[in-house]
Amino acid sequence: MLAPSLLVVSALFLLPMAWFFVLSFWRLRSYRLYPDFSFRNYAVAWTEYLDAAVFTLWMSLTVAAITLVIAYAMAFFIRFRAGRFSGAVLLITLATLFGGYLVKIYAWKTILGSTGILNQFLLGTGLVSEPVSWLLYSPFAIIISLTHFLLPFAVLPIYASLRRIDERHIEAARDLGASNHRAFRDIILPQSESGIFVAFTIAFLVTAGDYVTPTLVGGSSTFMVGTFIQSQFVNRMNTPLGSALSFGMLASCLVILLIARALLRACLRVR
Amino acid sequence: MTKDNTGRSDLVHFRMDMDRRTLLKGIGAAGALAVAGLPPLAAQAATKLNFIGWEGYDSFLEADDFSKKSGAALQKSYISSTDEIVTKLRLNPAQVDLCTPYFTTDHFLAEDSLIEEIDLSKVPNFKNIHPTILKYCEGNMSKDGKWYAVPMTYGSNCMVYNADIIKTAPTSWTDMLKPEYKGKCAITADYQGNIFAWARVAGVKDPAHMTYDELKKTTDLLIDLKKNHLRTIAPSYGDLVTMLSSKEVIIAQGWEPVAEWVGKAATIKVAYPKEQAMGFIEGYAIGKGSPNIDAAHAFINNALSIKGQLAGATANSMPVVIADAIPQTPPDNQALYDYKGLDQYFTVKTNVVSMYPLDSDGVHATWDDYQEAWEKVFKA
Repeated sequence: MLAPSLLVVSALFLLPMAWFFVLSFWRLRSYRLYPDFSFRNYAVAWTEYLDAAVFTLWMSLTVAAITLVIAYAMAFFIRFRAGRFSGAVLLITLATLFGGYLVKIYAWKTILGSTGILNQFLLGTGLVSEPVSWLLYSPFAIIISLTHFLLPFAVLPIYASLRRIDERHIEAARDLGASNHRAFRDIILPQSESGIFVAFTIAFLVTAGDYVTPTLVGGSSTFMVGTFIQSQFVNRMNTPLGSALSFGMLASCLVILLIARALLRACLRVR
Repeated sequence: MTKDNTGRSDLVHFRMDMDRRTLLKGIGAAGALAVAGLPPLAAQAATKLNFIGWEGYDSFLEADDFSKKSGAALQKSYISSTDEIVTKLRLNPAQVDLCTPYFTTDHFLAEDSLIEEIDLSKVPNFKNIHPTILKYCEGNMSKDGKWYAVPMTYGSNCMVYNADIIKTAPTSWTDMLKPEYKGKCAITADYQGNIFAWARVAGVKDPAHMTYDELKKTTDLLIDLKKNHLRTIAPSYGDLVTMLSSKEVIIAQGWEPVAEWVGKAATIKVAYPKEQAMGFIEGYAIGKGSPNIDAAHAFINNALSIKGQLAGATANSMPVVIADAIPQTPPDNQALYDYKGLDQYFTVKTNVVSMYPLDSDGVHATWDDYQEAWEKVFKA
């Protein structure tokens, strides 16, 4: 049964990954690739791109955390509070997926710019005397754009995990005198752990690999490591260094996700 | 009717027999055939030409319904950096039927057998190119009397500014450093033009052949510009147009058509700083081993026809290179490009550079050093 899936995963994912992993040890001279087994590319990635990598991981954690909190609140509302409108609210949430990635980014540019809707509102109400420049072309703009984009992707797994919760468990807790907060803490949260982790992982990994959003709304000082990976592959033809950078980031992301998983389990353990 | 029913029945029968094992066998057989070396898709579909280049540069090629007339169509891949073309050519030049490589790279692309020599007998309109254009592109596009690219337009990484707000035209790249423009100026990700401009500010005579020390001075100037003055680095000229239209930016490193593309949203004018702007003459090239070489030549010839040239001038506000097309260009195009002072354009206002060194001689920075310098600007 697994054979077709394995074939597809191997051909389209594992084999190309293995090839790029091998390339990450090769070297480039005069724009030509030479087989080698050297860790030089990893050393260059560590020394030259560490700041960009740290900034990228910090941005990814921030976006993932904010997305997770908002997505959880939305999924919780849809599952437990929206009643007969839950289907409609879920549909509205998912409808934003049809907007498209670039459309959303350009929409935020229109909202956050110096002459954008938000600044016009702030100026009109007299809250500021000059347009607020840090709204656009800043880390703030990246966070808000990516959070908006990732929300539907995060809502879905959380909602799926909340759907699986047997309401009789919550009622039983209440019957035994548990407060709303206690029931949420000891019944709902632990049982939605898988959804929380999947939502966090999606938001974290998409942000870590993104280079379009920082380029379009990040401004002149917020270039994430994806920008440099893209540049190594496309502009500088340095596939070995681009591969080393990619695998370095992949390893960092895996470590962070393992830590996040352990922390989540520790936090959600029923007291 | 009967035939239809029979056909459907066969189809159902076929699908029912097609179990997973059979399907996998089929996929395996197809894969084996592919590995065994079936001719590339481009060769099978002789009427499909792969075009890789800037968006808008295809408008010259397809003018006058040429695709319909010739029975050949362009499959377009637009780029965000000219270096992408080099990468695509390196991967497989035969899959690139038509491209617009950066004019400075033509020599080494030809030396590396990545682009074809242009057969001028198949491009009869070549003889109509303005002699001044030929004079300034010959050094980059031809070698030993053989042409490897054909010019179709030109331009420069000039300065653009909002004349509604800036009443006196800027005269130097250093005008971007004025306190009143802080946070209101931008550059694009066009690294060659920016390195040229700030190398000239640093006093470098030939920005395409800088010593390591000169490149470092230039990089430091660009880092200061980025950290202390710029609103952002526009990823494309389209984004720059948006920024100028919304007045997010009022002065920038740009390109002549930008002034037209902004339209009525703002009065954008072009300025040529005293340090000069990097000039370029853009051309079409054909990937080595292209299976559609004759069709590619025909498209290039069409781009050099009067109609082809005027299509580019009208659709994208780009200048023309065919002498007879110049008087027929729209008035706004003639106002933007001083065709009468063409020689002055390439000597006083702009400077058409040659290719950066590819290999290190220990003194001069190489192309990779230039790209690394640009990355340093991004990282700073």
